[in-house]
Amino acid sequence: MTGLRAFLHGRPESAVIIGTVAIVLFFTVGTDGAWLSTLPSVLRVTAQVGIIAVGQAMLMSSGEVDLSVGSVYAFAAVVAVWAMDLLGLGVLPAAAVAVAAAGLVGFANGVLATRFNVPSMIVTLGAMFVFRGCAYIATKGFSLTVPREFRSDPVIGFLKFKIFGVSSPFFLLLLIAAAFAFVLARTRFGSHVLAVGGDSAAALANGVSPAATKIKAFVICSGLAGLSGTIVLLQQASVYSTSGLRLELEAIAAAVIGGCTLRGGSGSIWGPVLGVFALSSLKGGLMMMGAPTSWYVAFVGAILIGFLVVSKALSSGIAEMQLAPSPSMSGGR
Amino acid sequence: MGRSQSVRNEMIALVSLLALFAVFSAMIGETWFRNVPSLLRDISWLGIVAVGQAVVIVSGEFDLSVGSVYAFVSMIFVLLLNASVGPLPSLALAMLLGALIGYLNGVLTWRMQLPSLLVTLGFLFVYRGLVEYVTDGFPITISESIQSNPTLVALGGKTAGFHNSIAIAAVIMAAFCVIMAKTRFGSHIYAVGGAVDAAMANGVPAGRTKIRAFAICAVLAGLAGVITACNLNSVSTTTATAMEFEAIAAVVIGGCLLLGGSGTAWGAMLGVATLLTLKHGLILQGVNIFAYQIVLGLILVGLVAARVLVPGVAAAR
Repeated sequence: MTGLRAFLHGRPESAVIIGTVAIVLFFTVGTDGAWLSTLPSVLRVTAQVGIIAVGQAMLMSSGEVDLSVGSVYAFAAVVAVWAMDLLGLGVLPAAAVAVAAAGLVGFANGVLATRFNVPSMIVTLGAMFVFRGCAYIATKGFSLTVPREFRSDPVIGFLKFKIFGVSSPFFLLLLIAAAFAFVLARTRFGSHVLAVGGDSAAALANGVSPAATKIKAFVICSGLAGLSGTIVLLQQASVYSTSGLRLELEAIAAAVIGGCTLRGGSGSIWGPVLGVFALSSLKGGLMMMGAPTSWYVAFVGAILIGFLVVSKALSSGIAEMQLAPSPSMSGGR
Repeated sequence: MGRSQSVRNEMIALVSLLALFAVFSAMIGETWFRNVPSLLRDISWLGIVAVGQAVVIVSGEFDLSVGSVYAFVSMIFVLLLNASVGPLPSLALAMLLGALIGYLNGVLTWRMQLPSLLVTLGFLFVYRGLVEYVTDGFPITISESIQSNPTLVALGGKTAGFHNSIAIAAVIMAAFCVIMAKTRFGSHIYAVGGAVDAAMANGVPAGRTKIRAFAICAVLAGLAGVITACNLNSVSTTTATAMEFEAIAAVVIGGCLLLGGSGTAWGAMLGVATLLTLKHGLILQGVNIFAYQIVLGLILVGLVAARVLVPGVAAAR
């Protein structure tokens, strides 16, 4: 028991661990175990949003935020279809082109945010409008479909393949999460991300370029959003004009629940993934218990606010015990 | 810097508005002028929301929940009307609800020292979920017997071919120009948005000021929703989705700095006018409506980047 307490103490992820366990227990008991049979579809949704949340978590650790991931998600899928349809590329090269295009969007976001000093909220808000508009125009308001001759491609076969009943993108998510958890915790680039997010002036004084580091984080964030969009396109064979709508808000909510902050300087990779899993479980569980899907939307908000309030109350309680200086009254961000 | 700085930012919006208007009048001609009443109507609806958003942004916070509050408050208003609560009490209750919503945003942001972006993101989901739950995907209509009630007509009807909401929006804009520029509360808003520590050291009640700013924003968002409901006689599940983004974009185009401490109510209205003139013009030109989104995004980023690049307009963050 002391081992568990030591494990949970002072971790940014402890709240999401406890919350996830509570949600899983609640739905498993509440539906007499029937909820467990929906686990594969919960994990499929987790893979879609989780890949985006990993990127968002990297970026938030560096002290920036990306509102355009939902639009980039749809835009990358459009690019993938174009690459197959117009350029006649195979599935894998087309996917690579799509992810590269998404990465380029991230690069543009990053350059505008760092070199031109435009707040990342504004840059990515603009990008959100631009690429949603592109997705609407490309799909003519409806959808674009993967050309028929590609449908039996082995790559698509692999993405639809199930291992132990779970579709393979979930394992891809685990790989990506593990890789970026390693990058953030153990590599030089990861330390730079956290340093820049914590105090970019101090980072600069110590020879770490905040601009270069943040631009890389923007590229990772958009690239992963594009990857997720491409994977879902290949699984479902279509991208819709509304694909990924509101996804940016869900990804940010999951990242915050999982231990990231808007200020940056601290962060977690698997916390946000767990956050996505908790939110997806909630969605599936509520639907199983007969609640309309609208409850899920309201619950996401309530959980986000509840999480913020509780974690603030806990951390200020700890701060008082340690006689730390009172929290800064600068408010806002 | 402060206010003289932001006046220059508003001038960019004014010039681009006039230029857009001239270009569209020349290109479209007759049809463009016949469209002006409906353009003004749309400006008044989004403008009321944007004035409130400007107050919050000047005070150094954000409100992402305005679109959901717009839909939620107007839905409650319609439900009250249909439950045969009179129009005036319904309006009063709806505004009270808006004030409570804003108060809650403000209290959570200030007392708990939480980022307003995340708090209002949470409420964006909460109120939208409630609207989706109650409407269940279908519009709720005001009963026909009440539709011709004088109060509803006053809010949603037309006088001499122009929507009454235009006058309401103009009055609100004028009121907030005066409040922000001439009253103590207005100075407090600029003070807490500019440098909250300095403001508090000088005895400005920072918490109360920010909480009031949130309350104003939510009340105005709710009022705009109620006016829309009176005009359309219904509220639907998707009413005002993504309006928060449009309102913030408009306020930024109109010269507010996102970090707070600078911006005006008339600038916000100019931003809305610029944005919607562009939208209506592109639609009348037969350009794909969604091209508007692309142009909007480019203008938003380009404008803020330009403020950084053009000398003398520095400190535009």
